[in-house]
Amino acid sequence: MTRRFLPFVLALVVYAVLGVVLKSFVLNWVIGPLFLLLALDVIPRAFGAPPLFTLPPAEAPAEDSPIS
Amino acid sequence: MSWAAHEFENYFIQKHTGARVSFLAIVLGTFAPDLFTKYFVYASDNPAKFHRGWPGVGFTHSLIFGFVFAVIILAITKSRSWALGILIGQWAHVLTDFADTAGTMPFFPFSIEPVTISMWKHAAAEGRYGDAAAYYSSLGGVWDFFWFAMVLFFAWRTLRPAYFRSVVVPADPKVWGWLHRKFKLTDSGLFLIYVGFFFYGLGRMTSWFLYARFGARTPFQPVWGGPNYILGNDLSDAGPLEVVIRTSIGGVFFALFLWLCWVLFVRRLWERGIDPPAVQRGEGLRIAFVTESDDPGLKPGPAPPVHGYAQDGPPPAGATPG
Repeated sequence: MTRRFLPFVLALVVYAVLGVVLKSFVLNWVIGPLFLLLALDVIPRAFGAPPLFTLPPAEAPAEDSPIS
Repeated sequence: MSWAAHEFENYFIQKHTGARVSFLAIVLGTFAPDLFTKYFVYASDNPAKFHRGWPGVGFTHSLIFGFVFAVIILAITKSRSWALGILIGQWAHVLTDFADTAGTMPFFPFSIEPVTISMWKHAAAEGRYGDAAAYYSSLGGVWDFFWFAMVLFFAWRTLRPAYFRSVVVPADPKVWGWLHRKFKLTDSGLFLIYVGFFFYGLGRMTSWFLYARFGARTPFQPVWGGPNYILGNDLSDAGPLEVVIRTSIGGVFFALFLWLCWVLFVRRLWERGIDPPAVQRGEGLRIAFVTESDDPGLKPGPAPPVHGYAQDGPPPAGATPG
């Protein structure tokens, strides 16, 4: 569980630090909504590394699951 | 104005609309009022008046703006789920922005009286950084946190991959499919776009709050009508009764206008509109809002298509079989 959330927490820390330091319009309004995609998927893959986040395999819904 | 509440609201709305409304359309709807105006607001001589008033671009924060935008989308794309998403998202933005001192003109052009509960001061006159510092020194920051908590407590399921796969994608297979094909994004990448708006709101809330405390060092004054260290930006001197009367008259005319548009051409556009295959609409409010009892995406049942966005193309690289 911790390992699954760690990339998101790290991305949040990086975004918050960049936000405080740069106070950039581009970071705030243009990159902002796509920051997670860039930080965890696009940039690592651009450097030949595996993405920092991959979806867990889809499972058949349990009978008592609120979400099928 | 709200800085991060608009991003969090998207997921709360998504929870209540399920597969009947496109999530990306909700996002575009909530962004729309500020998308074309925010950059110019800070350069204006009277930012509050320019942003929310008339003359100015205050009409972008009116219900009619969302209606016109949604009808144009319906006419061009024939997509009901996109038209409804634009409408609901933009209207949610208008209602949220009631809370600052500048308020909004919900029934423009039938009433140009700003409606506000003056919970915090509209501070665009302080410049962009001053605005951020003032917002996160007032109840505005608390308002953002409230919506963050609302999503975490009441709509947390919308942030799960299973929800994304079974509700969000089937509601909008064409656009998710286009994003997948055009930008060669995997299913993980598409999910990161989906939760990215929540992350964006959390990131903005965190960084601007830290800036207010440790950069601008403004006093934290989460009191009604705060912060007290700046002047207010009320756009109207009218008393509460006057506001209620003018707004009510405007509301009646706006309702008549909507009815007239529905009779004259919107109903025709709606009837020739199309839904994604997975969507079944009810009558009345059920065309958009769902309950757990009538949304197959929210109740136990047969597994829906996992990679609905791949209907028009091959499964994305790295995608797992359903």
